[in-house]
Amino acid sequence: MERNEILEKLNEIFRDVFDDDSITVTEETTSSDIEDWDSLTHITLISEVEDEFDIKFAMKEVVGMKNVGEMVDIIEREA
Amino acid sequence: MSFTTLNFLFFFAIVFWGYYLIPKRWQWIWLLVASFVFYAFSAWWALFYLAGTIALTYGGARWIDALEGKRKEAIKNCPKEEKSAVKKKFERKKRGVLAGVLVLLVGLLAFVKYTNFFLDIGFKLMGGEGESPALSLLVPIGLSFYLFQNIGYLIDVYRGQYEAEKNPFRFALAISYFPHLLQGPLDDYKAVSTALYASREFDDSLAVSGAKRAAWGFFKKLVIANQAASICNPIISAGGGYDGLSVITCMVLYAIELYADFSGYMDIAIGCSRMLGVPIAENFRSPYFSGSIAEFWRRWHITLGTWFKNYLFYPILRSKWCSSIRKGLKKHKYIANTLPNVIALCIVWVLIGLWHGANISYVLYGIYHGGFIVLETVFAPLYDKFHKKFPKVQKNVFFRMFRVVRTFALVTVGYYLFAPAAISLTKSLILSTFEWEWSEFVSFGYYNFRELLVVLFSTAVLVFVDAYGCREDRLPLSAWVAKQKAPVRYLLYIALIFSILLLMVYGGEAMFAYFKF
Amino acid sequence: MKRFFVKSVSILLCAFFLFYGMTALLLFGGPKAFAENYQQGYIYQYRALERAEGEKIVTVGGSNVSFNVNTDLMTSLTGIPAYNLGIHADMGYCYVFEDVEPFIGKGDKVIFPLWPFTKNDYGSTLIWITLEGQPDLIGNFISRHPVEALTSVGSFSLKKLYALTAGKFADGLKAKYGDETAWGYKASSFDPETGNMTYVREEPVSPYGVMLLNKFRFTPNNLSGWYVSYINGFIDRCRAKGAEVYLTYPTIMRESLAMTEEEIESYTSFAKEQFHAEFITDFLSVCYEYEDYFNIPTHLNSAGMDKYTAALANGLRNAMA
Repeated sequence: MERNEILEKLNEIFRDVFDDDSITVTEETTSSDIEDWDSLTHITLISEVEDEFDIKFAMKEVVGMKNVGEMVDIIEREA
Repeated sequence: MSFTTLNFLFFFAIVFWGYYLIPKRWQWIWLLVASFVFYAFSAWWALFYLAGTIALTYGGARWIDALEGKRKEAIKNCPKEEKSAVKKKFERKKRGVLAGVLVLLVGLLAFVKYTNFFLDIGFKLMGGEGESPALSLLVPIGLSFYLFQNIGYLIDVYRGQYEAEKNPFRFALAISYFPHLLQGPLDDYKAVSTALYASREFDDSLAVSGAKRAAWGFFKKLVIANQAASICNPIISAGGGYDGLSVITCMVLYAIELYADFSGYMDIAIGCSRMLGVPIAENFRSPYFSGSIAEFWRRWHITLGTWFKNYLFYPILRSKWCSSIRKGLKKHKYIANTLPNVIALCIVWVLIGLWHGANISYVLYGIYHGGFIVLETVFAPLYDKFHKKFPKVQKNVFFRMFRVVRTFALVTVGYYLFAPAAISLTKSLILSTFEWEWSEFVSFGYYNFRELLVVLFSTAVLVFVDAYGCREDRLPLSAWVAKQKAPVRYLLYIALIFSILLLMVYGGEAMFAYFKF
Repeated sequence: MKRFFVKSVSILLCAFFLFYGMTALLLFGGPKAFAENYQQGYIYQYRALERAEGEKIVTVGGSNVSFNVNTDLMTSLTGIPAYNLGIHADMGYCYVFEDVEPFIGKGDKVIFPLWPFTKNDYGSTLIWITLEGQPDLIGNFISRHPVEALTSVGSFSLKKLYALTAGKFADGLKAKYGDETAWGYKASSFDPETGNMTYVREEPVSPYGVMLLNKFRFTPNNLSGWYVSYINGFIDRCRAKGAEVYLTYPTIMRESLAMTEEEIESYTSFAKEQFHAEFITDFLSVCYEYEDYFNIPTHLNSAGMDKYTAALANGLRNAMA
């Protein structure tokens, strides 16, 4: 898949999980950019992404992910 | 060795000067020796626990790494169909080593710290009367902290975040490093070890900044915490016999005392470490300015929260049965997402409570705080709807102040459980809170007038510093100080030291509150 | 690195000079904050001892001496000038013993109501308040215990600054809302010439029930090895100078004693064999009823004070005969 396809799909997921249609994620988006993105919603987000792309994140990736761009990297690699 | 003693000042002076005078390649060895000497001052027998847990963790991590190496080899050399079977075999082996070492480490902590607690519960459950059986076990100081540091490292290695440290002495240094040994912060292993093993030149600005930070910690502990403690501790230990307003005042004083004590210790640790050129993690970020309990725990004892998040909360949420709950309830999105969180939160908060001590009061304290966080999680969509409908409320300054005051009040009520650490005392303190007698409160006031004035003045300074620093977009006050001209800066430093000498309470009773955890 | 060393040391020294300079000023000069404080009684007693000439009786201890031994009466009953040294146990018995020893000479009689204490119990807080404006005594304290003195003197500055300013407000509150009497805890309770407590205490001020809340119990374990050798050392040194030490028991309200007869017997016989001096009274006969006491079970009112003094004078006369 292309990176911007992935990004678009992620955008949908983000909007769904955070129930906010105004969200637009870029490769630089981090958890401090989205108000409700905390440790509680992080796992929900991860699970939805895993379901959507049929991949499984390793624990170190879940914990170590710094921004959406890194998420895209992993998806690109695994999917 | 407590930080606020002359002994420690001499010790650190020697460590600091020696560090920059010796050949650079010995610097980390110097720190290792210093850390063990430091720990030996607390109790020489405790060195066995420290060395033992370090050796065990070091061995476990190396073994896991070796298995990982074997796995890579095996995968390279084996046919495609067998690849996943091989992978699974090695995963099982690695998990076995991890589980084995974790059982030993956690078992050690449980045995040393919690045996009597569980014996007591078991005894009472079986209807026993009188004193329950107990082993007389001495708990080595700092065990809860360096054991957690060890566990975090081992799990990180297992997860493949970094390779195990090959040099056992270097590993020992990262764990036993004296600034974070006894009360944390629970540092990120990679960050702190990289800094520790690097050799360094003397850096004037780091030394000055570190010294300022440590001095501020001394002020918080010797002046604010000790003075507040001298007023409120006798009343809290007595439990009863005081009027409501006095008790409430004491609980607020305890809130101030605990914060000043613990964060003061952190300031000294961070400051001393910075003077040695080693950055360690922040543990506090103006916590009493939080708007919610969840936010409070992101600002109070930050590294403990992060530790539990990384090594307990996330693993629970990512576990098979949490995932199956989420999948099973996929139709009801809200429940599917919220229920696993609530379950994980309950488990984590009971354990955070228990971590603080082998006492039912601490467990209840964990449940108290966890309860609010669960409520926040459960009602999150309602809050969101409300704030979307009335967006002005969130920005209103009075609403923000209300949230801060409310959070502080809730936390202070929680201290009714935490401070006396005995249910009977908690009960009588709560009952006393509702018996108001104005003349008794005035009595309390003038008997403690001097100490109250000192606490008031010093807390005002603390509030100013914290309020200044709690805004994310602004550097802390120390940065402002650094920009002033030399005479102004020196005057401020002299004023700080002068205040400490004038207002401090020094003495044997002045132990750090978090030492017993 | 040298710059950092020089900078930090100079800043520290600056702060120290400013602080200890101010402390010295407050200690030695300026307006007196504690002139009316109860601790002044100790200075009256000390100065009276300084002026004493010839043979004398000195009773040493804590407030169990100032409240319970009437030196005027003791003098008239025994014919020997009597002095007290001791007004508050929290000053530290070690401190009082160190102060009294230089004054003991040939022919003197020292009376000590046996009370256990620990090594290095210096109540520096109270000591500094007592020593305000007394340069010779300040010098003594610093030279005897420099570390203890210098680490504790800081709190004196705070107390004095407070007493001269906000403390007055607190005292006003206390006067308005608090106890009408300070229960004798004032400098004016003492005769400045003799150091004797002349404050008239007509009857108990604490209710009986409140008195009962304090219980007292002594066992041989309270008389530690260190304590016994400390007291015996004092006794031997006094004897070597030609003086004599007489032990007695402190007065405690009967009902506040949480000891059976056997326990009293075991305590007193243990004490008798351990100490190098004789006891001039026994344990129970100086323990009186509620009517003789004042605010706590170890402080007598004026009538009780005379009773206890007479018992000591009697015991002393018998022992000297």
